[in-house]
Amino acid sequence: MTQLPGLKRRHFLVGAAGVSGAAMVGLPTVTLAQDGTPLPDYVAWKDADAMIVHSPETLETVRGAIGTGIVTPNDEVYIRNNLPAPDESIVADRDAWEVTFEGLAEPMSLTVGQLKTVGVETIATVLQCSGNGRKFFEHEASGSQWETGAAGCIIWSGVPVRDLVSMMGGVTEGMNWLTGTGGEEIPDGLPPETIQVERSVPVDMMETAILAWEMNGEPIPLAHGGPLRLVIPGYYGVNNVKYLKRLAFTAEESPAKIQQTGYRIRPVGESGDPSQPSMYEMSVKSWITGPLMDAATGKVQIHGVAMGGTSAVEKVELSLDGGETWAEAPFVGPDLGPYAWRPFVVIADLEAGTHTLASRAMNATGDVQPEDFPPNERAYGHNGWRAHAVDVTVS
Amino acid sequence: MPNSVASLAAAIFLSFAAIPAVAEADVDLEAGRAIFNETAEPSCAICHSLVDAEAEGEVGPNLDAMEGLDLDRIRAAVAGGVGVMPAFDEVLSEEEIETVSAYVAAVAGKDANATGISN
Repeated sequence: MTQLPGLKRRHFLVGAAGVSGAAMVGLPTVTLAQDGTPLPDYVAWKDADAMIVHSPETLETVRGAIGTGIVTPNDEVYIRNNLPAPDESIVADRDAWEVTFEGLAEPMSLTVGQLKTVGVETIATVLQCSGNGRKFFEHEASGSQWETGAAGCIIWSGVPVRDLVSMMGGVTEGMNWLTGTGGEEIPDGLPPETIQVERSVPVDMMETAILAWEMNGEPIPLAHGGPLRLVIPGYYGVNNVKYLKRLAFTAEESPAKIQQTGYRIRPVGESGDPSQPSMYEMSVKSWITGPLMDAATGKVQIHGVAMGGTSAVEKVELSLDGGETWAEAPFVGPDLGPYAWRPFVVIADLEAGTHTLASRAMNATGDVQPEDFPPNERAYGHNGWRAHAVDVTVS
Repeated sequence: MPNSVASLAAAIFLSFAAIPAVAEADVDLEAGRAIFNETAEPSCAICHSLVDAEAEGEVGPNLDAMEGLDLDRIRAAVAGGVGVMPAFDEVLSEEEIETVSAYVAAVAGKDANATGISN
């Protein structure tokens, strides 16, 4: 990990002498991510060698960093904040964070400390941004050009929403949606629904959803939604609302733009509207995490990860010839449940030359990762195996 | 794979070498600036920083520091929204979207100090 003196970029403009001079007087250091950009302050604790900084609010995990990892370490998990993270002070006393519950027979407010006494469940889920794979589309969609690294596999601990519903006397009749509201600050002059992160998912998701306070065995970092995050297993990241301050059972979907017109999948050139599919359920998908460019002749370990989306990944196949022929690739390591991904490894003997390595997953409901994925306006949901294939030169 | 001072230096050089995607002469800067600051509802300036518009919003990306800001992507973002950014195709006309997009494409990135990263 390379470290440089902690200066804003304009200070670098004085030249190398200025840099070394600053280092000599012992100024703080910043860490440069893979693209040469310093990590923003609020995620300065991330492993810079594993991160690409697209913008202060969007950091991608380097493809190879996942390796054969079942659980993605917190310091390697991608960041996609729709709004700047709240002030660090909200995690100073995590147990004091308060959430209001509405749309129940006995609505109430509870602190995280109180939630911890209601029930605890631990689940492993793939957390993936809707736009993961945007870079593979060719229609120049706006937004961060994610490749494979807006995804990680996380172990969450928190209270099951169904336990809270039971404690509060059940859901009020006619409430079809489970709506979570984030605690980010909205600047003056903006109606809240304009940019507020508020997402509604079908009410049945209360059976598997949890309100999580722990991420991979640690209190959820501020950047990832601590003190409390709504986790909807199998659903795209945007539905997993950070800094949860309100959980409401509602008759209608949230009026927030992010629900009504944002995160809607539609043909290129069309506007978003509520009649279009929302980015809810993730799809079956896999990708190779190594090797990605070069390998030596002889035996090579080819590895990757495969996920089922909303049902367990059942098998994954590997092709060494660009999809002409396929063979099943064995999973390695324990199965962490239907919402986790599973690493796979094949030891192959590759001859000199360029090989197109591809992977193709299938889930328990029989969905197969497609060869291609059609373009859509916001470039969401790409799971085509051909675009995720890698050309590896063996010499 | 370690980074190096050289890669940072290269990045800085490239940021200086960057040429606006749209020539200013072809763009109605005044009209674009007015849409950016006033016509759009909510105003672009509430959320975005842009030196030319004297905008200092901190909710959305600093437009002077964004990568890959070409006219097509800006137009798509304004019309259709990005993430939490609302779509403006209901509040701005096609012509207004074109004008403000061309304006941003022409003037963004002029703040040599902008990194988009606060240290």
